[in-house]
Amino acid sequence: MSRPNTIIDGHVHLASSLCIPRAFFIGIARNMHVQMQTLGNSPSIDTVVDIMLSNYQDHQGDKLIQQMDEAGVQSAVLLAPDFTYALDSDQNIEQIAAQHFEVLQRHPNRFHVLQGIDPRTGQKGHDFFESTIVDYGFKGLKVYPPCGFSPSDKIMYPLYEICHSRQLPVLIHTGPTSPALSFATANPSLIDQAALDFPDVNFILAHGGVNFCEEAILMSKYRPNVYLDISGFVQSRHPQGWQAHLAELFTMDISHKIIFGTDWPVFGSREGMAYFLDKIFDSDSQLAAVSAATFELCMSKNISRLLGI
Amino acid sequence: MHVKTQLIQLIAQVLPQPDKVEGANDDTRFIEDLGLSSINSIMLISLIESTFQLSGAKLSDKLLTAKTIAEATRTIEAQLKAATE
Repeated sequence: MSRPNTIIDGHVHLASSLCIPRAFFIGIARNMHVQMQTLGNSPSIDTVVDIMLSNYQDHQGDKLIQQMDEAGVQSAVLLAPDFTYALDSDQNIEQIAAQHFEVLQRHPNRFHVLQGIDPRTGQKGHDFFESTIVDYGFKGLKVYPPCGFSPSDKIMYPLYEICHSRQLPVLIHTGPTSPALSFATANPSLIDQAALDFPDVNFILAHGGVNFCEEAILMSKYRPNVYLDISGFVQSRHPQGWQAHLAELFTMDISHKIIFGTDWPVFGSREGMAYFLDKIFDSDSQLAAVSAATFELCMSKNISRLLGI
Repeated sequence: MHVKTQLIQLIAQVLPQPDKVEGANDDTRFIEDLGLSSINSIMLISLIESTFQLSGAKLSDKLLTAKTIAEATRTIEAQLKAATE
């Protein structure tokens, strides 16, 4: 299978400890700690956190760009989730947005930023979100329900109104996350009411092609304005591996709704983006039967349509 | 115990399929042969630091980018040597 001419990674983050609270990493480390302790070893939680953080020092996106270049990825959707309301953070959301704007300027034409804002910040937060669209040229909204709200909660609607009036996509985290946050609001079906109430706003279920797949596929298939991305695909629990999982996903008649994403740096800090793309286009993989037209939709055309680029 | 032997034992602890380390040798690759993910790698580095009483961002970075068991073994041995000098 030859690669499409254009590849857009629809889901990446800055590997910057300035944007993600230490508490987020502590939650993940606690989960690893339990596993290691059970096996008879127990490095401290702080040790595990420090190792993770040592891999989150790419504050200006240079390492990310290097990864994209090596993998042949032209541009990427850079997500700036807002954890600052739910967890103690080094930077406030204004500083985090400014950092992403600096990255945007440092690497012209390589990133499309979706900005997060916790809906409980009220009018001030709504205004700030809109200002990132106007002043920074950001391209949409990132929503993180595990911070403690449903994506269909009415508190979200003023933000969706902005997205409606400015024709911006909304990307919503679904599925597991750091144990420091709630999993109760991470089900893709929770977007249903908002998707019904805002038929002209396009909603992307982040990780929907990997976790809670049944729900995410149904939402994407039957709601015209709901999409899903495949970020985190290496975590697929398919017995034949993630390529087999994706091959099945492409048979669901929702190829016009599937968006490629790696979730860098969460998955891939060892393997690298290029490794995964090589595996996707490996002529011996289960994905070899996927048509070139389908890959084009997934790898760039679907997300380009939503971003208006 | 030899560093490589200890390393292989630690790898087995973090792999979803520990039997993959059976027959592992110097040339065994972390990703292609063992299927070691990024998350598993963080756990492995934690275990290495704890077992060999080593630490440091440079060590983590080198271990994270090591492609084979031989490379990781050399990194650990070099750190152990530096620690005793």
